[in-house]
Amino acid sequence: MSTKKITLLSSDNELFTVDEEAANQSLTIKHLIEDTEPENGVPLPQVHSKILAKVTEYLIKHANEPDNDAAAKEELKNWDDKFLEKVNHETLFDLILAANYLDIKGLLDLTCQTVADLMNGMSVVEVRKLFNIVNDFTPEDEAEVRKRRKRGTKTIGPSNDQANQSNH
Amino acid sequence: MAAKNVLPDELIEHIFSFMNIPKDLIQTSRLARRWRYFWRSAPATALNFDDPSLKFFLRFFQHASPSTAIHRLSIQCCSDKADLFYDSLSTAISHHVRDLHISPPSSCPVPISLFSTCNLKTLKLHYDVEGVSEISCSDLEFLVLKDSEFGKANSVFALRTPKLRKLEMDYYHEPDTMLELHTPKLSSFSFTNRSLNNSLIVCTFGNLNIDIDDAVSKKMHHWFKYVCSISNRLQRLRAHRLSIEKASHAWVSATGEYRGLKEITIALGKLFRFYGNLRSLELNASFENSKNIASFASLMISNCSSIEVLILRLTHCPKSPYAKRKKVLNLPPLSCKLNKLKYIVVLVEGMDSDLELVRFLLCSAVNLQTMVIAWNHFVHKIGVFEQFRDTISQEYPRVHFLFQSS
Repeated sequence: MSTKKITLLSSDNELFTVDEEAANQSLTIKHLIEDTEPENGVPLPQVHSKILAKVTEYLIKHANEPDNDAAAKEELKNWDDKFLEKVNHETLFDLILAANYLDIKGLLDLTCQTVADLMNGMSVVEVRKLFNIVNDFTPEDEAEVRKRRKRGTKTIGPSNDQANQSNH
Repeated sequence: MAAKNVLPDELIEHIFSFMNIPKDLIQTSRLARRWRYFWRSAPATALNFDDPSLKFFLRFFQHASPSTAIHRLSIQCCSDKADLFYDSLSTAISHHVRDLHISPPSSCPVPISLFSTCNLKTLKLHYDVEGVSEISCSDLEFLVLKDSEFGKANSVFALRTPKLRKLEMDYYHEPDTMLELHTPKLSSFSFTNRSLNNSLIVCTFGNLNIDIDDAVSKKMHHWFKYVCSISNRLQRLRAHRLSIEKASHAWVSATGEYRGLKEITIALGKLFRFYGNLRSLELNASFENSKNIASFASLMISNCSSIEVLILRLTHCPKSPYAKRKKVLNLPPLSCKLNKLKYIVVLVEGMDSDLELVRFLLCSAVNLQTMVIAWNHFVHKIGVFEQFRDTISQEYPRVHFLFQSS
């Protein structure tokens, strides 16, 4: 059994040690190790220690994923649910970015699914707050959207000519 | 450092791909200018439309990306919306719908491509599919056909669905239509035939329990004619849960009018020659003539040397005058011993023929471990039965007997 340890270095120079098998779930880390064979830990300058701690927790749990064991799968799913239960929205978005950067498909899907679930049933204002979106519709845009909705026109959303203007 | 909670476009699209409620997805166009058209390009969004307004549904897909997939669509439709229904279904098919539940009005046309679309996994159709001769959806796993009428007289309706695992049918058919099942993975088949006509079912499947409730059909002999190539003089057979070919468990119920009974017996006897692997057999049959019980049982049992568990409920038809006759069975000697038979449940009515059958089983099953003997309220002479009970317990000390009144 190879239990080679891999050291990961966060943006604020904190070290995390995980088994190679766990680390290899991140394709980015895997390729970094193969290409550069770093001696003093794999540098991950885009990931803060606070986030990397969560990421390594996920990697360790998901090393050796069960293939056919339904009970183990169920347990892992429950663990996933708990894993993101107490995470605030900001950390959740940072985890999405980290999972994307580190190329960990399982974690990316899990976090994106969580955000999609959050959006389920949210009002426009709530979703704006969630994504930190500034409403940049002009009053004219708003008026037009409202008018369209009232009239119940054939299209959903603004018409196509406007689509061409606002695609930037 | 990037502003908090701001994601690049491709990640927003990835989040969209997990949203499955169309309304929530459209609402994102109202967030800000940047978000206005995101939802249209969301890749492979898997949406669930449960009972949608069809106008909304169609409008949605005028704008959605062609790659937007539909997980589930369920439509109940009234007859004045036939056009909308047709268009919605075409749209759903072109967007790779996986799970489709539809009850269109019977006069409403259905796109013919529905019956050959390759992404469909579940199809529940309450519809008269007259004029359709084949369903050939390559990924289909679960098919429910209700209130359906197949084919014209002397035509064939075929299922060519290599992945189909579960099939429920409740249909009426024209005289002499033929149902062909080319479904190698089928493991559950429940079938209610509400027609009064002859039907022919041709099956090419492997491990299967069939649940056939053909209560009204008077002449099911074609069914067996095809399977067994035997006499077509059979008057009536009600097959309930009949396992075919490689099945390891079988349940057979047969109710025979005594005129045709001999044929049923032979049919089942021949049928059982297919059962090389049969391990358990449950047989429920009601007869008016005890002689027929004997040949029925012995033929069946002697062709099933592999069975381990046997459950027999052979009852006499109480209305018949024959039921009161106490005939001696004269059971034929078995061609082989039932070496593997370990467990028998048998229902007796206290008649001599029943007791003879029990003895016959005891002597054939040389390795029997347990025998459960249940008696019902038809037992007339309880004294005779009790005496019989004591006798067999003494004669076969190796067998563990359990006696139950049912």
